[in-house]
Amino acid sequence: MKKLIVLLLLVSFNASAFNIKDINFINSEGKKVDFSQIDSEIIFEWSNLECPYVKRHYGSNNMQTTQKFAKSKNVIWITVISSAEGKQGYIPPSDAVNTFASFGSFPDHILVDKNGDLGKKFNAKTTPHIFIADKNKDIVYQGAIDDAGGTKFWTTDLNQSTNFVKKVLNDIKSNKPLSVSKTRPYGCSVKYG
Amino acid sequence: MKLKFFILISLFFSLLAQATLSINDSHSRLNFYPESNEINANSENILTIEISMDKGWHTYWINPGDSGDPAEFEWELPEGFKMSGPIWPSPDKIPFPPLMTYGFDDQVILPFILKTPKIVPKQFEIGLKANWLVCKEICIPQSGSGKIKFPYQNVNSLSNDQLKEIKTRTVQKINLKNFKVISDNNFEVFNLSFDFPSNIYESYFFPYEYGFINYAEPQHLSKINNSYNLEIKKTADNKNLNLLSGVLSIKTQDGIFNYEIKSDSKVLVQESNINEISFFTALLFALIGGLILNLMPCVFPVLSLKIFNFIEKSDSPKEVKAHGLIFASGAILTFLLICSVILLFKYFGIQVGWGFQLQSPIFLTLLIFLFIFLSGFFISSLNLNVAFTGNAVSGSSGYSSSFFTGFLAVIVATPCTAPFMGSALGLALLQPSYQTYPIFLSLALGFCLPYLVLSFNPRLISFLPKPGPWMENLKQFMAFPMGLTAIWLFWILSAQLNRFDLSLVLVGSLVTIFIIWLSNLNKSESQVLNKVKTLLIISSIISLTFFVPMSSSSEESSKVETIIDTNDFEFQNPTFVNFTADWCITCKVNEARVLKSSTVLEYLDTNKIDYIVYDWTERNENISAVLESYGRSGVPLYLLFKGDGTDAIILPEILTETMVLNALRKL
Repeated sequence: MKKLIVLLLLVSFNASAFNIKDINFINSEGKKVDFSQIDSEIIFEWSNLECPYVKRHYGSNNMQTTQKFAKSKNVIWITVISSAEGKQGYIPPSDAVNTFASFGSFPDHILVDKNGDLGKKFNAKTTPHIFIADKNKDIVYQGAIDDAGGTKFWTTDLNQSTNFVKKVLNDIKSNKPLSVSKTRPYGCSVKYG
Repeated sequence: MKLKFFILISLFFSLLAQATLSINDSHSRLNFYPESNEINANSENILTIEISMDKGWHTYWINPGDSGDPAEFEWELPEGFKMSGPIWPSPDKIPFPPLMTYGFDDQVILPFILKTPKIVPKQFEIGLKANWLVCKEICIPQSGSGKIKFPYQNVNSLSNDQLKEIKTRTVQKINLKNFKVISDNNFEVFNLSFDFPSNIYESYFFPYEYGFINYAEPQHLSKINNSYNLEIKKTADNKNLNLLSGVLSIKTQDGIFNYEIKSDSKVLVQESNINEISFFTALLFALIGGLILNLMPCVFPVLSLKIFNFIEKSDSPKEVKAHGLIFASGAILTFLLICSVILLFKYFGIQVGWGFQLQSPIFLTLLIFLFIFLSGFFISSLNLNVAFTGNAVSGSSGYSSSFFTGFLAVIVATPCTAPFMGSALGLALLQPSYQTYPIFLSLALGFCLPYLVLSFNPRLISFLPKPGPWMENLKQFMAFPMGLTAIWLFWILSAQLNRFDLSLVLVGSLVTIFIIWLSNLNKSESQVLNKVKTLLIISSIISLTFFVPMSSSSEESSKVETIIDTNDFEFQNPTFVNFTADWCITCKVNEARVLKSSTVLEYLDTNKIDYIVYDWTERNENISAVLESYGRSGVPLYLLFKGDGTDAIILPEILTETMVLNALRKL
């Protein structure tokens, strides 16, 4: 019995095994996004355009390049904003598409998660925080966008850092075992309400 | 090593140290302080950087927790020079629910070590580029650069407050005594176990690296025997604990101490953590405790009825077996019900233990009425079936009465704690519910065991005396222990109620006797009179509720100490501590036989040993917490403190004079 409980705990706590098939969300344009209905891989980007980390990734064009790369591989890009209304980074749904477009970012969906439900389901901690779901909608990667986090972030050339998103997508597309599945997310904390 | 630094810092800074470089950014300032106004050749020199932020802003530790990043420093040095550091001081928890970060509010002082070559030029420059992040809800990166010219020119000194800050946050590389990393086999938590000479208020472990612990989860400190145990939730990553390192921060009344912790592959895997007795020992203890519970004065009379029942039916083994099983299931279900109630209380954060019901005047009063009723019932010629189930048939339909007897037996057993029960239930209540239930089940089985054995072995019954009129006499005699129990309960209640409410309880007891008298009257020939009688019985039963006090209303405040600061449960002098409650019969017996004996009192007096009593008659959360920290869920608990900061000696639940004197002599 005890062993069974241990086993169950192990399974339920194994983060990389978590599946998002049953999750759906209304995007900023009022359209329902059913994750199970998307038949490609999905990249989730937790964002807060006022957070200096996110700013640096957009300012150096690193985020946009990564997004373009994902699109070239036919992967769906979903940007999630879990900032509560009134907190830093919150954008009213009606402004979301235009705001991100002005930064040169064109996600397939923007999800304004002002109650933090989606963020807490994913256990999103920072902006940016990246989650990649494979075709079965299992989260196969979670963590940082690249290896620039830590003591050298402010002085690193982000375009020169090892980009985990590109790495994971290349592995998936060439049917190789993933070289990385979890890293320390770095950035500002998600501004939950 | 770092202690040495501190001493150096305090020696020189107060006289000589002065800032020669300042960088201002929007929300913070960076100041540079040298150790002395000279840099010697071929030596290690301490240079210090202070970042002071606007009020309410913070910056991060080397491991920032769930978000943020530590400050970064880039030095430009003359040839042959080497800079290492910063030597990170111990951080604070900066919670940001549901996230947790580690860092420094308002200011942080970071020491660096500058290693100089054999020959140092007379004049030279050191360049610094610094980037650091400050946050207050939102985050703003700060940066700046500057040059420090040697020898120094314009200078300010570190203040005493800054020196104090360095001292409290210095991470010591001293090994803690008996330090162990204990990995629990349930994979969810690990424990840091260590000895510490003084009492710890609070402790927290800051890991150096990402992935070992769940930052936002609280860490639970417990004190068992001679050592402290800090329970920490792991992350799902299940990283190799042999690589664990970090800072253990310990808060005591003498201040904060920080120790660098490295597991160095010294991880122990332990079967079951924390408690002195294992789960299986607890099961065994519960079984024995349940068995002994049968002999307690409050339970015995009710159970003797059950045995009478067996004797009467000894000619029909099948029926005896069925009755035995039904009785047992009644008792077991009641035990499990009590277990569920206790767990429910626990779920809502109310600390309770076995016997907690006796802290409720409502429950106590109902018990008094029950015991008075039983007493009256034993002495009268009432049939239990009539009394409880309202049907006057014996034989197979008496099954409901068997079930009820099982229930009743457990209810009347609740005021008692048998030996062995204490430690078993203590463990049970500290465990997750899937371990609590089996222990209670084991207690219930122990309680029923004699009847189950009897009912399955009819031959054993033939060893009991033959049925006869003696049974009726004995049954009537049982009224007296029942009455005595009622008086004992009333005495407990008297500590919780004022005189008026106590009188009401007595009136209620009289009404109970009145009900028995009414039920005992012979059937009248007049239908009307019979109806009046039934009506009277019903209205009397309803009126009983009026006599139940709804809350405690004691007049005088408790005569003994009831307030404990659970964080500081320690004594300066040799002390004997007695946790007691008026309703705890074991406590009262120990007190009467041992603790109030003239030899013990004299010994305490002549050897200047303090005797302190904590009264748990009315529920007190602080006391519950202390009991729990010693692995108990109820009283009695006897502790001996040497008074020198060492851990208490725990005495057994049942005391003898020689045992207590021997223990006292060791102080």
